[in-house]
Amino acid sequence: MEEIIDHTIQTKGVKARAAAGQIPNKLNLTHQGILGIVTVAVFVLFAVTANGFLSMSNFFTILRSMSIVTVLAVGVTFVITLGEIDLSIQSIPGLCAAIFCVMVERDLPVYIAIVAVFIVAMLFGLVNGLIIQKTSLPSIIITLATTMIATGLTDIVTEHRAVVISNPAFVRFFAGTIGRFPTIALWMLVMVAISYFVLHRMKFGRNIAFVGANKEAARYAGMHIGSIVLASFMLTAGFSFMAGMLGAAQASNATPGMLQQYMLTAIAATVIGGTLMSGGKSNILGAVLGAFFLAMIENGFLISGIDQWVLYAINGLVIIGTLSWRYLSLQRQE
Amino acid sequence: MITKTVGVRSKKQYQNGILYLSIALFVVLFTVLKPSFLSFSNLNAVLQSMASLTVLGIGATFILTVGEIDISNGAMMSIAPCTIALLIVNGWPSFLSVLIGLMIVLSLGLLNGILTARIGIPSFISTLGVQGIAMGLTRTITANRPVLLDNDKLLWIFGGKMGPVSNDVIWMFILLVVGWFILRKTRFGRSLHCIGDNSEAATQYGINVRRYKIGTFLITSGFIFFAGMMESLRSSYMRPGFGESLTLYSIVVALIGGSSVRGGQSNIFGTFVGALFVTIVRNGLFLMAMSSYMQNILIGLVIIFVLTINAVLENRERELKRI
Repeated sequence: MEEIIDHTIQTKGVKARAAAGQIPNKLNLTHQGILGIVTVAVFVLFAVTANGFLSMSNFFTILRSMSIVTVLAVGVTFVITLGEIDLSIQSIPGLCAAIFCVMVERDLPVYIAIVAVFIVAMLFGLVNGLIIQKTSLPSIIITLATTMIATGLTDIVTEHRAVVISNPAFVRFFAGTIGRFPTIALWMLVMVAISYFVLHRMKFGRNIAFVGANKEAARYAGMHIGSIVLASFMLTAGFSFMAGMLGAAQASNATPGMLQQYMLTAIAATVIGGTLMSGGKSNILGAVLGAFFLAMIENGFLISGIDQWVLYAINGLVIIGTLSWRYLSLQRQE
Repeated sequence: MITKTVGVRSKKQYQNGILYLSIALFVVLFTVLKPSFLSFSNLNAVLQSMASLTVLGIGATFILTVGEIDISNGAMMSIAPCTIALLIVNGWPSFLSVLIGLMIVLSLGLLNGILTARIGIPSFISTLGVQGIAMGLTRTITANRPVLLDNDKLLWIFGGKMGPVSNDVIWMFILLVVGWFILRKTRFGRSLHCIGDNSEAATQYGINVRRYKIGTFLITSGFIFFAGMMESLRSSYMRPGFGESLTLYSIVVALIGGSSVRGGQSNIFGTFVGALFVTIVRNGLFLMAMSSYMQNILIGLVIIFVLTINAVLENRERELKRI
């Protein structure tokens, strides 16, 4: 019962949660609120110190560099809300991009290629979901295995070379500009809107959170857990597909190993944004804010002329810092 | 606890049985296709190339036993060798440099432990952060360039040969025994299993769960230190970031060897067999001049196959018991 109450409070949003005493600080600020303040502070800091940070074109650069991460982050939120994890967002985007580019290179029509690639992504989601649903094995291993399979397939499909496509219409559709606004960011917004609607406004999204909060309770409430698990994994695979399309358009080629580095950043952005790894609580807008936060810090330091490899350490420190603070306050709450 | 042990034992039997079967299958397949696979020199090469992966896998086994996961181990491998090489180049005595290298790795392990056990960040994310720190640190101190290690004695200890057997294989067996001893024969090891099985019960029983978890991360970083030394001291150039791709495989070998992500189960010998399997697949494909990409697909399929069959058999057993 507590879960159900907890759950309705969660879907009712920030104010209700603060009123229910779930947020410990005195100012009634949520985790996302504080993250927002920190983001603004860092933004101002970079605007003052880094030359060229505060310009419209640089803002668009940040948007471009966060787009694919954000799509993956909001996609993986479905699965994390369920209390599972999907590591295959590491290689399914790359596989999608590779198959798409090879098909286009062989002069197949673009829309057929897109449909075919979408089916491939869905198949991977189906396999992930089915195995996890039927055997209740830990999702981290199963998706690790499918990741390896997808990586191998990518290598085979691309034959270890960069598959270049020259299709201006496709590139413009996914990664062009409208005025000065990058289309890729527009797609990101569309995907965010879809995931927000599904997770925070639909009954299905509430069911996902319910299953994630307490699987037993959900079973006794008569939910069909298997189909919810399956649907979540397929949704995540769908978002991976979208990330793959955006990546292929942005680079207008496909190389083995492309887009792999975004997996960990995406999961980090999701968790920084307030989604709990243990499931039950999710926040799509928080994930977007988290992705923006990470992309902005990277951009700011790069503009300041820092070595690329120092960024790894900075990223690690930022992730640890943000979350240490959050989990310490969660502990105090208990 | 007792009733669960019964189930665990039968599960292990299945899982390792399937693993042995698939190893035998691949050995026969590779030998038929390429007779030189079973030559002494090639088997020696297999042992040598699996050594550091096995040691890393032992560390992963410890972490999995308490029900956590560590994705920073690959990134932490190259720190100690790079630091040691840099210090020796700058005229420090070799013993002291090794000590400092070990200290750095241990302190990163301690950081992992504190973040996970004290602060309570899920280990997947906390070790992700430490992974970033480790990657950045190695590249920063070396300015992202390989460093020459100028010390023959040190190179011999980890990368030399004693008769026909190379030293890293000896290290591997020593560390396997050490790992097995800690996990199976000490009170500490038993407590780790208890924590992984049910951390609430462990607390009730009087085990200081946080301290034990931090200890586990420390022990693991010790194994990571050895794995890094063994992997990099085969040549005299220390490359920053050399072991990063091994993270995934270290977890895979522990898992297919019979450890469980949910904690409470460990099998050091299984980890060895898992590493053997991964290396045989890699080596065999290399000998047959087949594209190395098949390796990922094969290993992925075997993971799914081994674990799914295992789960199905276990389910059936449970159903039969119910009747």
